[in-house]
Amino acid sequence: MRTSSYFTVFSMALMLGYYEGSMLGSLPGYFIFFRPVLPFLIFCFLLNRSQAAYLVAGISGFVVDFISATPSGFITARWLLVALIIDFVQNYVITNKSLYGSWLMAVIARIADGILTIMIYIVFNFIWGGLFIIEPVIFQIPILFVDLIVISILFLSVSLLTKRFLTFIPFEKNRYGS
Amino acid sequence: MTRQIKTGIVIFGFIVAFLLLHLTKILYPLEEFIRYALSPLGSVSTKIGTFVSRESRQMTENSESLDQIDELQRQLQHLSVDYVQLHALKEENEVLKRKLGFVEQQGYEAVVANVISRSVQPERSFFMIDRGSKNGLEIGMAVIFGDGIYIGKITKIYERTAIVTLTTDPSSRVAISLVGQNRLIGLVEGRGNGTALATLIPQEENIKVNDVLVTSGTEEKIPPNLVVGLINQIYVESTDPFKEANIEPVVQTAYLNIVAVLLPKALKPE
Repeated sequence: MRTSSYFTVFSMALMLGYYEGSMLGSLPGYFIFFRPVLPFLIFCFLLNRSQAAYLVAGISGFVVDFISATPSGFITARWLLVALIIDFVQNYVITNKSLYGSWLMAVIARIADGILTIMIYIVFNFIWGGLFIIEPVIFQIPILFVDLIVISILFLSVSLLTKRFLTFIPFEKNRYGS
Repeated sequence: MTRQIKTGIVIFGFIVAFLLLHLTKILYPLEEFIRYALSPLGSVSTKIGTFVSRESRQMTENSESLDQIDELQRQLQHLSVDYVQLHALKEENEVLKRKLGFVEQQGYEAVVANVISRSVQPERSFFMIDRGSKNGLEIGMAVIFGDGIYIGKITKIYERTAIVTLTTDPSSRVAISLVGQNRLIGLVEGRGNGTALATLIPQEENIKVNDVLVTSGTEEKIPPNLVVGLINQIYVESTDPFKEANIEPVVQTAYLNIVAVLLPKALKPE
């Protein structure tokens, strides 16, 4: 990555971290379902910017871990592991860059995050007697729904504005656009 | 070895190393520095969030009546504090008249702090402030708004930041008294979602709707006569030795950006 890209990724990661770690608790209630870090990670992987995705996961996780009022349960580790899982998935399972593929990755990311959260909750609260507070599972459904909307907007914006992904395939070409 | 496996090894290594260094407290100074460096922007983002929240509330409600409500709430806060102070002064005066050689109670200093972040879950009520043990703060100290409205106490402390548990959090307990009585009559327990309940009030205790509840002063670092809230509903069960009452807070903690921590003068840092 170029220096300017590092700067952009770093700024974006800080913004996302401050949003999820600090601003979210003060915003009106309906914002609680808008958690942009994981959709943004998937978006980075869709753009083949895996380094940027790991940086965003690490930096925004650090910000949330340090300034969140409620114990976040080592969210840096959680998001880095989710980024690793998505990296594997997009390299070996969902190899095409499609809207449906990105939705599937969003679902996998949220489920992976949920499972890791439960594991951390068990370790913190039953082994170390910590105060980590887990969100109700039912909360994850609207969060996932918003994730899908966010990832769709990001995917379609890039498709339409930069022609990076094929939005349709001309009749005279085969299904792979060649 | 594929790139993902290499990345995986690096990430696992980082996580294990960080956890070990964190648990052995080797990273403590660095963690404190990072928390301190991040707090100014945290305060700004909280202010932006509060601003958006206020604006959104104003858009959804009639702005004129909202202004009136705010004004009435401000008046209520002032009146509650004045009322409590008046009672406290009256009582103090009587005690002074009665007792020669009266030793003035230890005073308190207010340490002003910005709110850096709030808990995301609606049923929990915490916030982080940008003052910590370096500013003389300790666990259990009272956090107030304005002249003397009790909003919570410090439950976790770092060098330059602290976690405040608000009265409405389910883990919060504070000993209460009725204004001017200076004796423990029960506890206020948080019930989540911005609500609190006064419990363990003996049946013989005479309480009425709109009575002002204040801190009893029986807790070590919480001075007496800080306004906790108003009684808005009383539950009496004839078979129960205690009664309960719903508490209406006099300040909306969701819109607070600046609070004060009461610090006994003896503990004031150099």
